[in-house]
Amino acid sequence: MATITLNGQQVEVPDGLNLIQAAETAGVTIPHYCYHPGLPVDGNCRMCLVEIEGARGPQISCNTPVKDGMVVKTDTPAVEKMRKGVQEFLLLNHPIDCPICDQAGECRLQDYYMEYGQYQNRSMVPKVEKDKVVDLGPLVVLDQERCILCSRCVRFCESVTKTGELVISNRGDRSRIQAFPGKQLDNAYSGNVVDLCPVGALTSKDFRFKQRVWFLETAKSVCTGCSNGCAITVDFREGQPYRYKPRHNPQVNDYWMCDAGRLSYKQLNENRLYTAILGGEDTTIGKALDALVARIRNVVASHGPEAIALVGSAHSTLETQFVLRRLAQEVLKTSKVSGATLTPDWEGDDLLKKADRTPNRNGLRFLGIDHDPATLRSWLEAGQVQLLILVDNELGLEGDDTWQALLAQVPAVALLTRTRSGWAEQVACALPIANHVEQFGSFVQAKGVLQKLGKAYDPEGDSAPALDILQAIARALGTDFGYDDIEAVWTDLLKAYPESFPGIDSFYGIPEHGVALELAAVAGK
Amino acid sequence: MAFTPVLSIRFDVPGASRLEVYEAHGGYQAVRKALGMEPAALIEEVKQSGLRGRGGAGFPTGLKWSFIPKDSPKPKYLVVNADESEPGTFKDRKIMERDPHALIEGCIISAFAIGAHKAYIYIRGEFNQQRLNVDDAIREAYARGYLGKNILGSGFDLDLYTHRGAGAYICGEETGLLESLEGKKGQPRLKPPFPATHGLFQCPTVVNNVETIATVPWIVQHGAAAYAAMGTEKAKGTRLMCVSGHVNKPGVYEIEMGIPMKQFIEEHAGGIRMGRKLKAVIPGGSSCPILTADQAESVTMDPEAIAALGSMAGSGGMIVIDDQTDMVDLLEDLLHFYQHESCGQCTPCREGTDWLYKIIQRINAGKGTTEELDAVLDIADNMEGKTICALAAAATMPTRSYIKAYRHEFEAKIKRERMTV
Repeated sequence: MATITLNGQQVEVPDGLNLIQAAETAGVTIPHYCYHPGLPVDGNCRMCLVEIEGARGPQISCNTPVKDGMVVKTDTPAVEKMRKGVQEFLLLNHPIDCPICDQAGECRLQDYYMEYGQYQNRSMVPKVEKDKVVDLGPLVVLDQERCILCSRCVRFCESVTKTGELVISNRGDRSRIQAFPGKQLDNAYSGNVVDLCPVGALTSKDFRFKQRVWFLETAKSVCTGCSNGCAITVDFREGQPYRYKPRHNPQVNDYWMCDAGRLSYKQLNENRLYTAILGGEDTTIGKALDALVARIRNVVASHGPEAIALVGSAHSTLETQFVLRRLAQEVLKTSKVSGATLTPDWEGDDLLKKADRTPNRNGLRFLGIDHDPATLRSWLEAGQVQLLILVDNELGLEGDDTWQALLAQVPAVALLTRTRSGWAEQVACALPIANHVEQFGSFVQAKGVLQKLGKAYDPEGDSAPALDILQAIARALGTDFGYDDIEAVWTDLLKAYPESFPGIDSFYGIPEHGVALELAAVAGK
Repeated sequence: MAFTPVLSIRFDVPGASRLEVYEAHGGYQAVRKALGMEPAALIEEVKQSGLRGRGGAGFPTGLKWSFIPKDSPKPKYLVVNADESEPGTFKDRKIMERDPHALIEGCIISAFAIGAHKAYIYIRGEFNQQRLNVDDAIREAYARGYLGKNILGSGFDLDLYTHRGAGAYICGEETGLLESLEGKKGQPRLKPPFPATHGLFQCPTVVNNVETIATVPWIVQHGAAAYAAMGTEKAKGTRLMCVSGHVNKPGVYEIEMGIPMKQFIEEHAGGIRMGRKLKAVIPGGSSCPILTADQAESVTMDPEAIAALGSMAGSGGMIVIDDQTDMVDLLEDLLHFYQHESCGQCTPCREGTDWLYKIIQRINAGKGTTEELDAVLDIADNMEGKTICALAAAATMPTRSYIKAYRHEFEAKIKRERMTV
C-alpha cells in the first residue's frame, strides 16, 4: 500500500496502480478518454492531467504510477481549466450530431461535456471535414469526424489481436483512423473496438439504429458461444435482447469477447419453441406434462426404471444438471443419467475462443454426470431404453446418421428444448424451456471458473426454465424438491457436493468475477 | 581568451569534405588521442568544456553522456540528430555539406565515450544532397580504417549509418526521431522513461545534435580548458549562428558566445538590407518568442541573457525582421507551419495549432474580432505544457509574444485600419 494525499485527504491505495486507478479506489474519478486498463498507455488525450507536487507542470495520471507520499490535486481551478480546454479542443471539429448518433447516451464526450464542459462555443472557424460512413469491416462502421483519435482501436489491434489492421494516417488535424489500404478490420475480435471507442466514431453494424441505449436494460450474464464463457452484459428491452457486450473478468476474458460470441445473442430467439408439442400438435404445458408423466409410469410399470434414460447437456446450467441428476437418481430411480452433448467443435484460438462450443461441460464433471457419448450409445444399442428424455440436448439434430438410427429405435423420446424443429414435432412430446438469459444459474467454463448468470427477463410464451419443468415432473411423481428459487437449489447442491465448491456459501455469494474451481479434482471425468 | 573558430575552420577550404583535405587540416588527430583515453575521462573532458547541446534545449553534453548506464547488458547507441527542421536554422546542413568528417570524427569519439558500437545519423528528408555527401565521407572513413572493426588498432568497433527522414518537423524531437528511426510513425514518446535508459530499440541511447558532435573533436584535441575559455560563464565556447531575413549578408557565422546581438547583426550579417530599420528579431529559430528592436539591440548572444528577456537562444536560427514587416502576416505564416507539422497525437496541439492558425488567418483577412484575439491567448494557455512534447509550446510561445509586443497591429487588422508599417 502507498499513502498519498489526494485533494488534501490522506488515502491508502494499493501499490502498482497508476493515478487514475488509484484515485478511483479512493472514490475520486479522473476523467480520461485514451486510457484503458486493457491496453498499453498512450497518453494522447490529455484529459487526465492533474497537479502533482514537485512535478514540472501538470502530469497525465494514466502514465504516473502512484508513489508513497505523492501529493496529488485533481480539483484545482487549473485542473478544471485544463479539462475544459481539452473538452473544447475535442469538440472543435466534432460534428455534435448527437441526435442521430448511436453512441448518444453512452458517450464520453457527452458525459464529460455535462461535467467538465465549457458550455459556450467560441469558435468562428469552419470545422475540419473528414470521411463519414467508412466501412471498416464486417462489423464496424467509422465516422472519422466523430473520432477523437484516442487510438484505443489501433492499440487493440496492435496489442490484443496483434493483427494491426488499423492506423492513424496523416498528421495534425488531418489525422484519421483508417484500415491499411487493401485491409479490412475483419479479425475475430473486431467488435471490441466498438466497445472501446469512447465516442460515436466506431459503431456496430449489427446494433446501430436498433435502439436508443437509454431504453435498454442490462443484465450480467455469460456468453454461451463456446466453453470459454466470456463474462458479458446482455442489453435488452421488453423481452428482446439487442446486444452482448463483454464484461470485465480477469479470470476469464479480460475486457474482450469474440465476434461470433457477440453475435450469438441472435440465436437466443432463433426458432424458439414457445408452446408444448404433443404428438406433433401444439398443446399446453399441462397436457404435455401429464402425458409425459403417464408415459414414465407406464414404462416403469412395464419395463422397470432402468428403461428410462435421462440425458442432460453441457448447455444447461449447473443447477439444471443438478436437479436432473436428482430426478434420475431419487425419483425415476434409473442409473441411466448422461450429459453426452454432440455439439460440433469449431476452431479455437489462443486468445479466448475455445474449440468446445458448450458452455458448461465442466459442470457435468463437477456433478459427476457421465458425458461420454459412448455410454449413452451403448444403452441405446442394447435396446434397453424405452423412454429417452433429453434436456436441452439436440441429439436428434446434432448426431450423425448412426445416432439417428439409434434414436429411431427408441419407442418414446421426450424433449425439453428451446428449439422448434422437425424433430421436436416427430417425438412423443416436446416441452419449451427458457434460454440462459431468461433464468438464473451458473456455468463452469473451460478453465474451471464458475460464473453466475443473472436473469434478464422472463421466459417467452409457455417456456420455463428446464429446472422448473424437471421439478414439475418430480412433483407429479410424488417428490417435491421445493426449489422456489435458485438459492434453494444451491443449499442442496452444497450439501450434496461439500468439497467441490470451496469458497462458495450461496448462489448470491458467488462473486462478480466467479470462483476458480480446482479442475484437477475432476480430471478424467 | 580570444575567439578561435572551432566549427567553421574548414568551411572555406576547398574540398574539405574529402578525407585527405580534412586530414591535411588536422582531421582525425582527435580520434587518435581519444581512443587512447579512458571513456570516463573523455566524458569528464566534455563535461569540463561546458559544451551544451546545440539542438535548441542546451542540455550539458557531458552530463547527458554520463546518464548512460554503465552496467546495462543492452547495446548502447549514439544517434545524431540531423533533422534540422526549425525554420531559420541551417547550420547542421553547412557542417554536412562542408565538413562531414568533423561530424564523423565526433561520432567515433562520442560513441567510444559512451560505449556504443553502432551510431546513426538521422538526416531530414529534404537533405538529400547532404546525405549523399555524408555517405561519401563515411565510405572514405571506412576505407581508411576510421570506422568498422578495430578502429586504428584500438580494438574499438563502430558502424555508422545515415538514415533519411520523410519530411516531418516532429522527427527533430528526439523521441519522435527514435520512433521514426525504428521504422514507426514519427511521434514523440511519453517520458519517462528517457532515451538514456530506453532509447533506440529500448536500449540506452544518446541523441545529440550535429553541431554538438562536430564540436567534440576540437575539445578533445585542444582540451576542455581551451574551449571553456571562450564564451560566458554559463555558455562556453562558440556556436554557429544562422542568420536570415532582412539582412545584407544572410548565412552561417561562427561566433563566440556572448557577443552583442547588435554587433552580430551589423558586422556579421551586414546590417539591415536597403538601409531599413530593425523591427524585431527571432533569436534562435521560429519557436522562440520574438525580441523587439530595443531588446535585440541591447541583449548579448548569451542563452541566459536572451532567456532573461523571455525568449530562447534555441538552435541559433536568427531571423531578422525589418520595419516593413506585417507581424500578423508573419504570425500567420509561422502558425501555418506548426499547424502543418503537429503530429496530431495530443489533443491540445492537434486541434489547437490548427485553430490558432485559422483565427490569425481570419484576423489577418480583416474578419477577426477582439474576442477572438483574446481567445488566442487563452487557447495558447490551454495548449502550452499540456502535451507530450514541446511542439505545442513552439507554436504558442511566439504567438503570445507577437500579440504581446505588437497587439496594436492585430487590433488594427480587426478594425480594418490601414496598416502603417
